[in-house]
Parts: sequence; C-alpha cells; structure tokens
Amino acid sequence: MVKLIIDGKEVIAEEGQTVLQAAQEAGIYIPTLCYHHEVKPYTACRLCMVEVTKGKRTRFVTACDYPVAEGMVVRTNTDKIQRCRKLIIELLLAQCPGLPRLQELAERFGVEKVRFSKGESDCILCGLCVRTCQEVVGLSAIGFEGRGFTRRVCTPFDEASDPCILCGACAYVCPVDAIPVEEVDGYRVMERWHKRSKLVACSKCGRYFMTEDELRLLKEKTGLPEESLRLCMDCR
Amino acid sequence: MAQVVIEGVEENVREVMARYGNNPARMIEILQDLQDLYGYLPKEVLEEVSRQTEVPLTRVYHVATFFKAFTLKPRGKYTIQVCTGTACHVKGSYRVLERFEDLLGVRPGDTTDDLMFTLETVNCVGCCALGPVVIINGKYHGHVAPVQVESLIKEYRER
Repeated sequence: MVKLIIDGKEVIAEEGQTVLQAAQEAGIYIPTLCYHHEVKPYTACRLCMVEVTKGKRTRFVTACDYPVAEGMVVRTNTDKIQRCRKLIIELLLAQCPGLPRLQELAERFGVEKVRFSKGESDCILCGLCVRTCQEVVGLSAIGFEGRGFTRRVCTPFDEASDPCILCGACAYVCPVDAIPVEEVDGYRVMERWHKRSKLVACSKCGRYFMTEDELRLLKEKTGLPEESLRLCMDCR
Repeated sequence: MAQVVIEGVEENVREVMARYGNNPARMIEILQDLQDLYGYLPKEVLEEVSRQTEVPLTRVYHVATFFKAFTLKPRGKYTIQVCTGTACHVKGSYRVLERFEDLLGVRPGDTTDDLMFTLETVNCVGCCALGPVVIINGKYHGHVAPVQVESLIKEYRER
C-alpha cells in the first residue's frame, strides 16, 4: 500500500498502480482520450497531464502511465495544468476541426479559438483502436502507416484486411467516434477498413447479432458447436 | 505501371531471415536486405515476411512505411536526386527540380512508367560549392542549370 496526496486529498493506492487509476478510484477526474482500462497506457494524447511533486522536484507527467509512490503529491487542476490541457485540445482541434467530440471537449475546457492552421483529419492518432485490435481482440487487423504528418491509421496497403472480423471493437473504443459501423441489408459494413461481412441472425429470436467472420473465429477459438454460438446473448 | 515479375519470394525471404537467426526483432535488417534484392518492397514480400516471422502484417507494413529508406513502389533504373538544401536552393535548384518534373512527368518520390527514372529530393549532400547538385545513381553533377536537364535525361536514357 502506498499513501499519496491528490488535490489535497489523502489517497491510498496499491503498489504498481498509476496516478490515473488512483485518482479514478478516489473519484478525482482527470481527462483522457487515448486511455482505456483494458489496454496498456500509451501516453499519446497527453491530456491526462498532472503536476507531481516528489521531494523538492515538481514535474509534469502523464497520469495514465506514471506509477504512484509513497509521499507523492499530485495536483490535477493547477493553472499550469489548465493551460497545458487547453493547448493540447487546441492542437488536436487544429488537426481535426470537424470532430464533434473534440468540439465538446474544447467547450468544456474553455478553448475559444484555434490559433493554428487547420487540417482536415478526422483521427487524433491516439492509437486506441490499433491497440485494442492487438491487445484485446488479438488480431492486429489495423495499424499505423508512415510517420509525422503523413501518419495515419489504416489497413495494410489500404485494402480489405484479412484478419478483420468486423467486431467493431475499434469503433467502440474510439474516443472521437471516427470509425463508422453500418448495418445494411444483412451486412455489417466498415468503410474505413474496406470491409463488409454478412450478419448472422440469432437462431431463436432472429435478431442480427454478429458477423459470419466473428462466428468463424469464435468457433475456431472456443471449439463449441456452431448451434450454441448461433444464439444471441439474450437467448443463450 | 509496368508489370514487375516477382519470383521465389518464399525462398528468398527464408534465406534472408536465416541470415538474422529468424529473429523478428531484426525486422529492419530483414527488410533492408529484401529491398536490396528486389529494388523495392513488393506487397508479396511483406506478406511473406509477416507469415514467416509471425509478426502481424500491420506491424510489418508500419515499419516498411515508417522509414524513408524503404519504398513500396518499384524503383527506376536510375535514381535522380536533386539537392534542395539551403545552398542549392539559393542557387536555384527548385527550377532544376521543376524541369525534371516537367520532362519526366513525375513528382519527387515517384517513378516514370517505363521504370527508367525515380525522382527524389535530398537535403544537402555536402558539396555546396557545386550547387545546384544533381546525383544520378551515385554520380554527382555540379552547377546544373535548368537547360542542361534535358540532355542529362537523354544521356542516361540512351545508355
């Protein structure tokens, strides 16, 4: 057990926990974009920046990957931190001016105008979709391409990615809702990954609930008979 | 784009991988050697590397697109590098580059359809007194004026 102070409040955390985890458990809000508790911290968005004082030194660190330590003093809402967050949001908004989720964030944190030249991307490159596909789904169907300002998330060669099962996990975790998933005429379509797959209807209630690709993988992974997998979660 | 025949991918990849102890952590070296062999990194080769190293194709693709030293497009027989460093720029290298673009019909980074020339820009090659500098397959041409570009291309095309 480690004792630390976050925003003047004494917090007891477990060894190996991060500042963000400790703060969340204590009910203290730290904004994040690229963080998800199911995948490893990546520190891409820098939005969880906090001020940490250990001994005489005060530093700015990313709360999502910074480990707690005995006697540490954390401040999450100082003037400097607020300025820092505003700048980060402003930069993200300059890169992706059209994202409603970013605009909401800007409004909430008082970012009034963007002083930088605007781009037209709809992706903040936090890599949460890429990491989820790799760490949670285990398929690595999508990844990064290039670097610097040509960096983007895509399937290899921008073609339909073989391993993708259209599970939609990437769309679910995307903090800016930039990955559309559509279901039309019995197919699930993900334009961004150039992929479509036929939907499977529940054998009992008839509701579409997964794709054929998902079913194939599930069968392979679990070894369960297909009939039991063809039942949706409610009918199982 | 002219069709490039790619042969023996499986064996070539296996041979190169063996050189590096079949260690996927040496991906960059593996890709470098394969690029030396094929002149570029064809899609089939990257897919085979992914299969044999058991590294997801997305990772291999990321490495291959991350480094400027790798190219996924076929390269020309001759690589034309136009220096756009400060000294060459001041000496008018952008006009030389424009002339190359016009005559070859390609932008920097691209290759002509007949697979003869790949046009590139570089930022300073260390012989600024010779500016504007053009390097064609390692041979340095100094004080290149826009009017000379046509004869340079002709010279190499007729070799």
